[in-house]
Amino acid sequence: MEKSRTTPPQAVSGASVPLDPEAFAALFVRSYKRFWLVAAAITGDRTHADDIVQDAALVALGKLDQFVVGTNFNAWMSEIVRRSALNVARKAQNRSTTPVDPTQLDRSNPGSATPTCEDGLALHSTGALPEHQIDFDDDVMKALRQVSEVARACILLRIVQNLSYAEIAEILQIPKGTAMSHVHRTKRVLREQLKNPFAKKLRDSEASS
Amino acid sequence: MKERSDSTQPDRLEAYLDDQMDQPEREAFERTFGTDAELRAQVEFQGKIDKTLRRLFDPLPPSEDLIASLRPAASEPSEAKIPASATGGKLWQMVRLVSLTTAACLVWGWVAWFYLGSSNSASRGYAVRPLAVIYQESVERGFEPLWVCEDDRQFASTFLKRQGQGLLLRPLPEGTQMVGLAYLKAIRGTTTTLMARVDGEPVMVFVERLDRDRTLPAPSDSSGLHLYRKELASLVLYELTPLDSPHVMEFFYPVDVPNPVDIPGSDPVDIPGAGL
Repeated sequence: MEKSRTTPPQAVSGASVPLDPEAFAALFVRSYKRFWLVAAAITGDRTHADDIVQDAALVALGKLDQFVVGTNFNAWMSEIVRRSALNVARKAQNRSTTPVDPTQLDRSNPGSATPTCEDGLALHSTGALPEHQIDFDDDVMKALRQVSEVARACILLRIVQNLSYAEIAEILQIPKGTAMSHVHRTKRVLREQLKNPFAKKLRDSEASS
Repeated sequence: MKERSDSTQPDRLEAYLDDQMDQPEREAFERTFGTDAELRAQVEFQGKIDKTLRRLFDPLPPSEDLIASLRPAASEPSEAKIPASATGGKLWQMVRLVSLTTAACLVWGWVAWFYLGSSNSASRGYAVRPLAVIYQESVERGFEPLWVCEDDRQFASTFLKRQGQGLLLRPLPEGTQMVGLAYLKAIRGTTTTLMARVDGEPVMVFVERLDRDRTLPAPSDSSGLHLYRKELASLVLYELTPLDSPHVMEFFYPVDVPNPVDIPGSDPVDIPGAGL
């Protein structure tokens, strides 16, 4: 038997191999929080994120033959989540603009395509929050909805998941620098909106006159 | 709002809030808090916003129903139970080996039934799992090996039996320790995996016969892992590592094994119709 043959170590580059369901399940569970944040960011609301991610997982399961092992699973799966979330957001938008009886119109929020955060707050609170904190939570959600979906996704993935800009860029398929700009700008917007929303509106109206 | 004469102050604030500053820069920025109350207030307010976002957007883990709906119906081998009376050292290792061998036999029995008993075995094939997934799952389970060899003869005999070529390791440098062996079906059903730690980092080396090598996909950038390949005698080795270069595969060398010991549970299994 040949014993003398040896080669130096070589780095391995990519090749196409299909992904099996068990591997998919493992990868999906591992990055579940990221996908949930993308869903919540796209809709601007946490309420339906669970359902969106679940639906996206089932869609992805049916498309495993289209995924090439060795390519970026998180980016591939995030795109499916994003499309599922956009569908939900569009349906919610259509519902909010469809004429219904006057009592329902009174409860709807015409400025937003998404329901209020009250249900989500109840879901995640473990105890009673002080009223000022509940108000602040509402204000944060409203301020967050003022920025774009991508900006929301960037700031949530950065602050909640503490992802690097390289990771955020991979998931959202945008340049790193763009992701960083979104985070910095959105933080500034949130601080301005939440500290003194009326002063900002005044400044904006003065600037435009 | 206070007028800022330094046009880069907002950028510096964002860089500070985003942890983009190095230590000296950070300390210099923090010293300005003493004289700039509004700056300090902005930093504190951002902290409050961040805390609120983390609380509002903290998802529950995926439900068991969802996970179950994603996994295939095949059952996984049950965890072998170590008797409470087992002691440490060689006795413990032997008891563990017997228990795991029993579990391994059950697994191989199921595999044989699944592939040999089915008229559709040719189409089932061998379910390739990405190495990064194998690695990650192993790390999440504590990076525990299946089998710890007692001596060099057992070590060499394992590779002789499974890959047809005995292997040994030269003395490993400080900071590099062998953890044990596992049979993780990384390249083929017969692949033997060496588990090691390099400066505390888990590293895996997959060993297979060269004539059974297959093209393996590289781990994605987001996995943080690197894959290296080398050929050694009639074998191929792959080292999967979070480090920037291989640290373990270099130490393998081929050996003859005149009187190999029998290693229970190390029989390689060919899976008909599985692309082996």
